[in-house]
Amino acid sequence: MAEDNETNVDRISKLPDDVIYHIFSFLPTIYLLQMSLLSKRWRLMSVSTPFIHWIGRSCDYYPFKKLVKKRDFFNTANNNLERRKLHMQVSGPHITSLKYDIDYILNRKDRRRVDDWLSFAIQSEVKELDLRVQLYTLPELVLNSCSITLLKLNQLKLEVPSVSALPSLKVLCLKYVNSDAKSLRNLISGCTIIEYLKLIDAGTSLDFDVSKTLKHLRLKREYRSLGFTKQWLEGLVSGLPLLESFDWILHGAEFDTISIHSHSLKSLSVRNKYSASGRVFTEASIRTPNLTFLHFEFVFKSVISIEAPNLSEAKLTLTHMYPYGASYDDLMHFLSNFSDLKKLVLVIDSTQDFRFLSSN
Amino acid sequence: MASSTSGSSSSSKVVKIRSSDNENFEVEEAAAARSETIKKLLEDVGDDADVIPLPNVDAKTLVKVMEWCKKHMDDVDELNKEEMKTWDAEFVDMDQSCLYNVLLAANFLNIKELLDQLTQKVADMIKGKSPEEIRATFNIKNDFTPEEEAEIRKQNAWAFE
Repeated sequence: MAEDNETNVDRISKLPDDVIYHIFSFLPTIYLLQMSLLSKRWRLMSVSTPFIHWIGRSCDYYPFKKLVKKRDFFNTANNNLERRKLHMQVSGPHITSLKYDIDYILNRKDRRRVDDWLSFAIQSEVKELDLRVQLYTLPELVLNSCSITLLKLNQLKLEVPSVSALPSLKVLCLKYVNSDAKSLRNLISGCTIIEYLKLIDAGTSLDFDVSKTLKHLRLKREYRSLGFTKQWLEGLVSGLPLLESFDWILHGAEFDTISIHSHSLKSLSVRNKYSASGRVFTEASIRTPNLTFLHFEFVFKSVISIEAPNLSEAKLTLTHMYPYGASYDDLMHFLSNFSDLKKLVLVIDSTQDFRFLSSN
Repeated sequence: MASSTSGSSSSSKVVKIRSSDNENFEVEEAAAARSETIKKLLEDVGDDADVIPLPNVDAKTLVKVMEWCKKHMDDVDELNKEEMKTWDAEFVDMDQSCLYNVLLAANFLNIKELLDQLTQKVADMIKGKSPEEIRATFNIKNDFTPEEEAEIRKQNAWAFE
């Protein structure tokens, strides 16, 4: 073809539909709306994309300065929804992913509009739902969806009076949600084939059972404590036969000692950050015969015993020795646990306490 | 359990593939198998395979794709992820015509991770631009009738002015 004239050829419009949708999966829907002004091809592609991602910002939203007013945002998003509904009468329901990330304060009418979007998504057999909406209570129909495989909730209110039914769900991420222990238990126990669970500041004490299918567990405390007992956590980790990775970030522990015993675990990251108010582990015991990667961040004076014969990589972060202090011998003794590794990264947070290291 | 990072294990098998313009390449099987399409073809024909023809991919594009496959042959260590990210970012930084060729090849050869990286790259080229800038970047021609255009403008163009 016209090889020499290549720079003036429109090749993007000739990409197969699936590839264009794949590109769209990385773009907020407002960009698709913009693309729809360009040509017939892009108009059709933007109204039929299975990826919907609305961002609503009350502050400067570059480059869409006209979309910072809540009313304009909702009108634009709603017009788009209506056009989709018309289109779908022809092509049938098909939404892969719906993301809604808005930071407006919603009134009752706005909340109903979000409800409409969600019920439309559920009817369209949505697979991935990612919602960041303040003070919005997740409607019950979402908690009984057969199609959802991924559910991410951020800042929502979660009320789950009875056990949910999410038979396809594999990934569940809850961040800053407003919930109580019972709602959380009801939600999680309805996820019968869950593989990935992430909780960041879950806003309540944790005391739930999770399906034995779980492979990846992330627990993170940022601003509010994740309350749970040592017995609950230890039982959870050792009771999951398929658990491959466990990431745990805490700012000051609720308890002094911890045991992590798991036959299946391959990757473990425990980051016990120093906190003036919280306690730190004085003793940790890790028995993980199949572990290959370990990231451990801790106050050095902790007594740590590790049984992980297959370990090949480790990252050790020693933090805030003061007022515990540590001697060179202590450190060398501890590091002798890791002499056979393929790769070891040692990070020392407060250099002044470890000045003696430079002499070696 | 631990895989070797060098990737030059002594038992590595070599497969032959042929581009649309009839150039033959020898590639390590572990690299070629990053392509689900090639992997499946290899399983189907077994050891009888002489040369695997790839009628949709020209030699220049195939070289590029296989460069990526070789780099991504082994699992990445937790601690090497950053280094790999930098390599990938440099890899997708190519001129548009080359980008589409590699994109179509990754689609045909079914290499999910490469397809993700390339479509993300195109998405990044769209981000932050006005409609006219997008039109100019990709040479997209306006094929609306004046009536259609007026209708569309009325609906949502205000948001982008």
